[in-house]
Amino acid sequence: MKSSQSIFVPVRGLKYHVRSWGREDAPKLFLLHGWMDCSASFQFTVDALKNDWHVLAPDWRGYGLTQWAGTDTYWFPEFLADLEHLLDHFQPDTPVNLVAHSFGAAVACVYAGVRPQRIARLFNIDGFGARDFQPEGAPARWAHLLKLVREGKRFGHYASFAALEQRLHRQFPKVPAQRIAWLARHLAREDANGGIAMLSDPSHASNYGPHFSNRLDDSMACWRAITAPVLWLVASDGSPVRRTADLSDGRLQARLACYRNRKEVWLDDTGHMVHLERPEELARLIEEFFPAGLQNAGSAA
Amino acid sequence: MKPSESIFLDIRGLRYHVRSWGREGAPKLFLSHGWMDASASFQFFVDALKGDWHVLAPDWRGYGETQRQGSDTYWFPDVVADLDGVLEHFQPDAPVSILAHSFGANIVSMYAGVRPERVARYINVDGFGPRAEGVKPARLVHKGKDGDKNVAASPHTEIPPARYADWLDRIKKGSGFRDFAAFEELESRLQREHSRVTPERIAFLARHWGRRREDGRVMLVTDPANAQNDGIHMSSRLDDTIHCWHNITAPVLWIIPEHGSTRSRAKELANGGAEERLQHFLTRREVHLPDTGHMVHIEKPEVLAELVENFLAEKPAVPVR
Repeated sequence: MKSSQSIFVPVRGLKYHVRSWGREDAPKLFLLHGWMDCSASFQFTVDALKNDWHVLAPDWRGYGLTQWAGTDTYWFPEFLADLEHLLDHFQPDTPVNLVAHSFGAAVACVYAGVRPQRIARLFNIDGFGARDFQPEGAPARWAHLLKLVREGKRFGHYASFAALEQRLHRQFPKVPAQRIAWLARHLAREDANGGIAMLSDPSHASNYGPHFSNRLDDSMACWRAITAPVLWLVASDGSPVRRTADLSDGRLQARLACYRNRKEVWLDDTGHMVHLERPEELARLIEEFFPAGLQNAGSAA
Repeated sequence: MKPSESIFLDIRGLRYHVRSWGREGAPKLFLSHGWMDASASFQFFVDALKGDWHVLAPDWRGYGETQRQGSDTYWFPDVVADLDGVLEHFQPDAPVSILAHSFGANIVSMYAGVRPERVARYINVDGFGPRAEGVKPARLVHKGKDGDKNVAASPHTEIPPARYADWLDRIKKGSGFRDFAAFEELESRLQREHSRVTPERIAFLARHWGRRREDGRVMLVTDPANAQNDGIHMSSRLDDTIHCWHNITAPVLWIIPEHGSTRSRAKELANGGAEERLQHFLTRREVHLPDTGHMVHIEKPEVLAELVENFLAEKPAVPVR
């Protein structure tokens, strides 16, 4: 297992944790995790990378070892601003290589259209972006938001790591047991009472705030502005299956079509957590997509 | 001048200040201030009320004496959720009577459509809702006053990438206000900005919108992060908003000053733009105030108080919907 270092960076008033693997002057790869995940879950993918990379993976606000925002709701645009701050911190002068999964990809893909000149290449792992909310549904959506705010937080506690592992195994049946065990110890930690507490802010649990504040037509307008090459890795049993309401009947294709300069790779018999299920395959695709020439350009500064 | 008391509440982790005038057992009237304003500016309106009221006016997050959020951007849904918290605290069991001005009316118009059962009567003072972001025309179906389905043109409100980029640029620069040598200097600036307001009222406002620092200079009380409004604009889309306006069941008294938003936001609201927005309030009655600017509660508090007390004294109207 390649060892990682923890870097703490102040980002817009929050203490951000960024996990760093590899030599500092190697070409940089930024890895962005998804909802209810954390930077550490990229460990197996990093282990499978063959080339010399400086891998940087932040824990988003309210996840992993990054500080919680202290609010009951997280809004989508905050993540765009955090990402910009982090990229400016680590690689201010040259366009960056981004690998992003699920919610992390929703952020990365909007950002790549907002700041097209900042992105060299973007590797999207099963991240299809915003929900397809319609204006007609606004009153019900707002009412649901107010209801969640009133209900308040529900903290995620487990009796033991074994109990958390069981839950993760049910959720991700294709991920091998020893990876689940490792992941459990990075998603949670022992609390004072001998139980297990999730590291992620319970305000993330409903995931409603980020969806509420990220409309599909806004996202699509940004996707169309992307100039960097984009690789779409679509997991056959991932988002297209889990989000049929948003992604069936040609709607998946309509989203893909927003990306002018894209390549699609479909992985059969693979669930949403590609980086945990098939890290070797993912690492191979990543190293094919980020060619040596661009790696060097990325580290020229 | 009627004295006010300060009440402090914990609303969603922030220390909220609510200004309270009048007797606790009296019928409640809630007041919702606007952008770069504060609850204290309702003083003259409250002074002009003739009836027995318990008036409650929160300072919104980052305004007046309410705690600042401590971040660089404020979001519209947060303020709407704060309003829900304030109303739940003071009047959980009965629908409320509420007057709201400008941005404060944008909050209440949204809320009154999202929780129609929580609002009994609503006075909207010159609050025409959020900016339209884009210009692409979209068609919107809504129910007309007679229950017919009408189709109205409505501006499309997609956030283009450039809006996100503007916001990212702005928060990187940070925000701050200039300060003033003394209250007199702030007063003369306010007087220029609000030429219709008497000097006595300007002096009062300066002492609530501004605060003397330890070094003797005067600073504005409002969080500078509230001054640049990108977050609020990006998180209140006009198309969503209009669908919420349709849901309002409370009678709405709409007060439209001649020199208010329809002038300052002429690009959107002139040439039928204002009427187009007004028609989405299906339960409204309009009052147009001649020779009045945007700050109706400060310029013509007596006129406003009379309109409000007459409106609130009316027998319950036959429900429109």
